[in-house]
Amino acid sequence: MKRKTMGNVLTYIILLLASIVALIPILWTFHLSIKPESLLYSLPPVWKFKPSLEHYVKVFTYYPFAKYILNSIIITTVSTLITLAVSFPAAYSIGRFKTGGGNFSFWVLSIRMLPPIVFAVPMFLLMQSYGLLDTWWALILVYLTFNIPLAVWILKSFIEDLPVECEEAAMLDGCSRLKAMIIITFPLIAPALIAVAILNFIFSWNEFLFALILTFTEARTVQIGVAEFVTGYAIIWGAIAAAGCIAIIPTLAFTMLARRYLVRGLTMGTVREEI
Amino acid sequence: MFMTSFWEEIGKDKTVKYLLIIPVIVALVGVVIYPFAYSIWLSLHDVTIMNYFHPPFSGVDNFVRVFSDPFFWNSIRVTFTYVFLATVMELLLGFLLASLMNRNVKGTAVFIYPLIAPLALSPVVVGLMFRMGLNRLYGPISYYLNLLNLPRNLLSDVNTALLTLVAIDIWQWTPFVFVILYAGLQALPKEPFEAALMDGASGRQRLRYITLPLLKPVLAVAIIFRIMDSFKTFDIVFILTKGGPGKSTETISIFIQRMAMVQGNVGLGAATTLLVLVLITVLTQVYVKYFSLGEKKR
Repeated sequence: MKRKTMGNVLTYIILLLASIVALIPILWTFHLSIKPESLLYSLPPVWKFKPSLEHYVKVFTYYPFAKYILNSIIITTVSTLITLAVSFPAAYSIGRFKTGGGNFSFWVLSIRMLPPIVFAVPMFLLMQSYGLLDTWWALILVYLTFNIPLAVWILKSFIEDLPVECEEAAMLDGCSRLKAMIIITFPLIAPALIAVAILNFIFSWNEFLFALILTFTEARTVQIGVAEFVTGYAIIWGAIAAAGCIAIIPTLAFTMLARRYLVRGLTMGTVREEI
Repeated sequence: MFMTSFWEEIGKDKTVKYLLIIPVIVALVGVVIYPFAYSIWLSLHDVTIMNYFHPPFSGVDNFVRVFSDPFFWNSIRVTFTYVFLATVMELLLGFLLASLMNRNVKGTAVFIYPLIAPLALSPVVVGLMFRMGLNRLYGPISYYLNLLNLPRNLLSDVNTALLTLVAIDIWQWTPFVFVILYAGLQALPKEPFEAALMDGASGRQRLRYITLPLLKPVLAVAIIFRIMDSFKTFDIVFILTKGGPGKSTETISIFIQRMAMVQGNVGLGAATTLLVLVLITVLTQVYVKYFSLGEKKR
């Protein structure tokens, strides 16, 4: 039994160390964001000081960071709503009737596998010719390319897990298929819709490449806002740290909240176990 | 009379199932098929920033030029090195952490939160975090490396730049493999392990003959997603090195971005994206079919 105790202690220590390694860069960035400007570049690095909020104030007063946050919220929300509206019926159809067979759903999955740069080149020119560059719509539409495959696959996995009997009972009572889908399946699948919305939010919020090439000033998102503090002349550490912390708070919070669905979400519903 | 038969027709399953996927098809035609068709057209024309809309037809010229561009092959090599190193390390570390977590030692459950935290961060913030940390003059990482007499200019050295990027990828995405394998391990049936213990199987034997075979479907998912996602890597490289020093960290995504966006050779960029598309499609199809991902396992 002594060997087992040793093993347990070792397990604990390794997991503790791994947790520290995972957290240190995040904590360091937060630490940096509340460090007074005068101490930012001191060597050796100063670890103890009186915290200050000056960088947060600066980010919101000297830079249009608030506008970037608003842009990001609007873009992610609208893109998510469109995604859910088109994906739920499709997921129902594929989940219940295997519409299009394996090939169609695998094709949808393979879109998720493509590098975004593949879309970037044609999208830039198309958005330019439709006059959508630097507007919310450019990113709302482009984000559908990864949001829809994610939503269809996750919702499909939830619908497959749902017993068919509930709908069949309703249909025996005279419901049409569509009505059964709306009044029986939809409410049962509501938690999944929320999970998908959260995952869509995380992926759209964190997106960088399309935001970089399709927006310039008006429709810039949070991620670009953070990266903008790297200028040709200097890297503004305090502002990057403060803006970076603001940018990661919502996704961190949502990840922890949606923990149950994290594995399903990350694997597009192909692994259904919860943690 | 007509109306009733119309609604009856719509009510039938075989009609409904097609009606329901129409919206998604319309959306995907708009944001996926159409841009791709356009990409094919672009790749067959000599498109530069000077003549976006009426470029001269150039046939397979762009493809020939891509294939004869040594930087293209360099970017393929860099990408495959990155994908291979990152995926292998993430699998090993992720499996180790998942197995340890799966021992359900008292007090370790809380570690799940820090261990999934890196997953939530945007690649931009991760990139900038490490860019500051590795800053040659003021970064704490390079400061402490210097105290230990280790090389400090990790990102500006051709020999270490790519490895540093891989290390950052490992930091952020080992948690991905970890959560998937942990979920998979927790769902494994207990009986085979008990039976094996009764028969006196060693730890290694149980791993080799029970855990790994049972975990295969979940492992397959973790592997394909990590391969595809690390293949895509753009943000981190763009933020940290933009492909440099030299071209030592120029992944395929950075290569295309440089071609099309920086140098304005849109036709060449489009041709390269199509080559990538073919490569990825073949890989996914083979892999997905081979492991029959997403099939209901009951």
